Amino acid sequence: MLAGLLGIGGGIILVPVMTGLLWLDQHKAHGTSLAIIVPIALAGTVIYALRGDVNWALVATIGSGSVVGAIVGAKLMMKVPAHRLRQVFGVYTIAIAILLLLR
Amino acid sequence: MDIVIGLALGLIAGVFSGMLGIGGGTITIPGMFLLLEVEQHTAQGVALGAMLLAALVGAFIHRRQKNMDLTVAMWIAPGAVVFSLLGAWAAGAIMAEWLTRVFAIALLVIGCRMLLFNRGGQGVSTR
Repeated sequence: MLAGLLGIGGGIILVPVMTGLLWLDQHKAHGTSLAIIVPIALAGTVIYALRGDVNWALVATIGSGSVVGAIVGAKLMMKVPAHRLRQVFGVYTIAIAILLLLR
Repeated sequence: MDIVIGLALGLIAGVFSGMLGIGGGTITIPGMFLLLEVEQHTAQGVALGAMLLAALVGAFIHRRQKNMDLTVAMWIAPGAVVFSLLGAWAAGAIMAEWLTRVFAIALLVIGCRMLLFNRGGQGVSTR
């Protein structure tokens, strides 16, 4: 729901649910989450595209950057502790939220 | 310049996406909104499109590294897709500035949750 409404993938919700309720280990949860994000993103993109809310040139630039990043990230995952990464990410999201609200 | 920003946004989002198993919308959407002045609805649509590519690649790599539980994915995906469709439909009915606010509040909650319920020991060091 949040995915379609807010354009986020849902992995932020999926990962804690899978590790917390389904006892999947962190790394397995990440891979599984990405597998679920694929159909979520597909469904969401179709609806936004039908409304004309997709700028395909931007999808191409951001998408190609993302693909390279995703390869690097998936390989790096084995080397960086996930809780450290979540700390960085947590601080980042709060900072961005405040920035958006003050605008 | 916009292309450089776009590529950089994608790159950062991709790294976090691949590492944390998230979609990357939390990075690309505010990035587009704040740096490229893209309207909120479009930013969300673009984020989903870009995420589709990144998640496909990320999922493929994780699958090869055997970091995936397909049974769990099969159970969760259908419901998630239905709600994604509903959410995308609902977003169309909300004004852009309100959508930005809802987005910001969601980010705030996500950020606090990440910091407060961040148990150590789930990283590589303990594996």
